Amino acid sequence: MIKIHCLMSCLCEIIKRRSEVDHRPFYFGVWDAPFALSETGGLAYHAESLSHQPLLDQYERMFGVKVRSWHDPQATKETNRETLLRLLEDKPEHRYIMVMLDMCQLPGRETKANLSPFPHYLMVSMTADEDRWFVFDPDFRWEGEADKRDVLAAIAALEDGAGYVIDAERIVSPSLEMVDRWFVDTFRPDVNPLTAQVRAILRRAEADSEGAGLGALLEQLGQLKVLAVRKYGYEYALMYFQDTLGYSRDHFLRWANQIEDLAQGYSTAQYMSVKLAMTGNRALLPVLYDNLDEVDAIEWEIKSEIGRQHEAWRAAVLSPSATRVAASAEGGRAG
Amino acid sequence: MRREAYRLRLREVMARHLQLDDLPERLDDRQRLSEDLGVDSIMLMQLIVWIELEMKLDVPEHEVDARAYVTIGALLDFMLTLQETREEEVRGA
Repeated sequence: MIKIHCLMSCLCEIIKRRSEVDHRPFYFGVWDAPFALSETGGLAYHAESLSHQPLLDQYERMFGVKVRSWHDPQATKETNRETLLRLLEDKPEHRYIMVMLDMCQLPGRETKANLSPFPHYLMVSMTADEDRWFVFDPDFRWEGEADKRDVLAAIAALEDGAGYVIDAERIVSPSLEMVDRWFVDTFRPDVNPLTAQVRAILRRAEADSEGAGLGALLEQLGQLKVLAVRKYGYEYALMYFQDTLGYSRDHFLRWANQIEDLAQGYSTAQYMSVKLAMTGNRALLPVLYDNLDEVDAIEWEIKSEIGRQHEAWRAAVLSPSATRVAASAEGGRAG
Repeated sequence: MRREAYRLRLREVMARHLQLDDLPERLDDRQRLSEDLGVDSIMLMQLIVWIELEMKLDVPEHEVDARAYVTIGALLDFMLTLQETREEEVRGA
């Protein structure tokens, strides 16, 4: 499983573990999933104002699995802690308890994100040892035991809180029409919101001669890489469509390389923005804008290919009269 | 030889510019930048810029991937692939 989005990774892992249902279409659109802006206008992958509800509703529509929030934002941390403990005590086998915690407060776990704080979703359950909890963290492909006190401390370490109960007693497979609709609803062929926002932040910093100016980029683009990993969601769409279209492994790998180039483009943008913030060297600005143009160009190509594959897939599965040969021809520049 | 020289300089740069007071006397290859030394993602990017500016090593922007520098050893491996910066590039930085 590719690390993309911790909440989605938890939800998808439940489908994988408990059924033969294909979870991959749920990742459609994650590449352009909403992000927040901090008070200073910086990119933020997490914010209380960012609602996961549309995603949770879609999960229920697709797989018939209801997700409900157990966390009460109006209640104290202590009350929410008691709620969590009670839920874990009463947990039937088919129920998953998801918590949000500060990952950098959990001892012994390497995240490679080096973020502090690092709000992160994972699932917990009790073990035979009352001082140890089982931690199930699909996004980092990690599961194992942890000290209960450490997990509770990591939950309490975040200013806000969140958590969900997922009852996965019965999982259904989405219809092809529903998969098609989800793709159409989430696919945005006319805009690359993340790159557009990075460019806007850069322009604002460039024009701000009164305030922090270019120095503000350090904080404002600090979470760019966490958001950029969502672009790996394109791989799920490619894998899903190619199963029907019969495309070769090589064809997939060529596009996977494009996705890797896209992710590297964001790494480059972040590094250059840090350098710009530290040195104030405005000669770097055109180089950074050029880099963003390259990032955009790569993503347009990927979107064009995904859009083309979706059309071919749709013709193959939803219009039986369409010619299968035309629908399944490999194409696109990288193909 | 060069690796050990870089190790010493890296420690100096980290102490001076990242204000890390609790650095060990000698940086060990196995030490993790985040978990063991308290370097977060932004500090890591800053550190790479300082490596470029202070140690005069030319960092190709298109190859920087912070996720690859998990340990001191990985960071030193990366530094050993870098060319020294030419003087006019240093002035322009």
